[in-house]
Amino acid sequence: MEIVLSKESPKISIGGIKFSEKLTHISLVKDTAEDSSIDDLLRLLAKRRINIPFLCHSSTLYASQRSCFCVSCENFPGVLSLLNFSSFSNLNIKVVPAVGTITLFPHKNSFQLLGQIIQTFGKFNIPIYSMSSSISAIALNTDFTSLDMVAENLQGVTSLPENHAPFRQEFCLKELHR
Amino acid sequence: METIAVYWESKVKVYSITHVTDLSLINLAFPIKATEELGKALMDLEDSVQRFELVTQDYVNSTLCQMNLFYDQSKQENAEKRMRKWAEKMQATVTSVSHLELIYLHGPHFQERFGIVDIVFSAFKDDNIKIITAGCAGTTIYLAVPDKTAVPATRILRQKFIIPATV
Repeated sequence: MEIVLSKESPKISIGGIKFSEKLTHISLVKDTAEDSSIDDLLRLLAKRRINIPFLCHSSTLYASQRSCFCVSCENFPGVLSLLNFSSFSNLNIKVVPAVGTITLFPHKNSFQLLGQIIQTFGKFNIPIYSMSSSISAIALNTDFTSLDMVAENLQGVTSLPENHAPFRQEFCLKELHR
Repeated sequence: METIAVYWESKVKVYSITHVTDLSLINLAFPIKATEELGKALMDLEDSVQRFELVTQDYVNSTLCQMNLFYDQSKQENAEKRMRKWAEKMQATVTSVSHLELIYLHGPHFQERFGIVDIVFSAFKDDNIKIITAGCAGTTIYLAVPDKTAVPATRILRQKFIIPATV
């Protein structure tokens, strides 16, 4: 089988790019696949009304469970106090204090767009702490201070509509009661 | 500017709960330094695999990442061949799993509301449904589950959420 190494591709049209507010990224690893720590943690976070704008969880392989999620920086102390509970103390925890989610939409389930995005991050040595596709978008967590640079580099492989919305939201929503 | 949204609902409303079956998963554990190559590998799947259903990625450790790629099982042979070739070049490890199913639900402002994913994880835990991969971003929650699990799992979710047909 032959692999085509490089092919000049035209820019891919997308509808927009969006930045999140500053978030804290928390990764948890549990060495056993049959463990309910993440379920318990999610329940406690819900009880404290702490929103999780991003979550990625995997218990596929390696007989371990891996979860990572983001919370707003103001909610991080609350999360930390939960993580300090004894039941979570044996989790392998890694925290990145200031990340931002960059969201590109729509992805149209396209390998070409996904590949161009990943390639751009790799080319410029920009970390991808985590990533997930949604129904129409691809969301990637990287250093908060790198968001503008990432967007600029991604515009080398994607094209935005002329009157696209600002990357940064001018408002944020917060659920107070249910 | 301050915007306040208030949801008064005993059960959370969702736009839809849907599932797809007959999916395969490629799990690729790759050195972070091979990220650029991974981009090329993914573009190389465009012609033979055509579309992905879900992709997630996270760190394994300071030098290694893992990507979970879900796609149509009928393309497995092609996808695996291609990816193994690239994995060799990237010094990555490929693991393939077939006969998986994917459930997705999405709803208003899911990314801004607390407790939504807990409803899902708790329900699945109570009914011993294994979540192989979950990807929650934007207004969507994706859940990869084992073969023949999506239908009962979806039934459970329909009891936990309100969907348009019952609004």
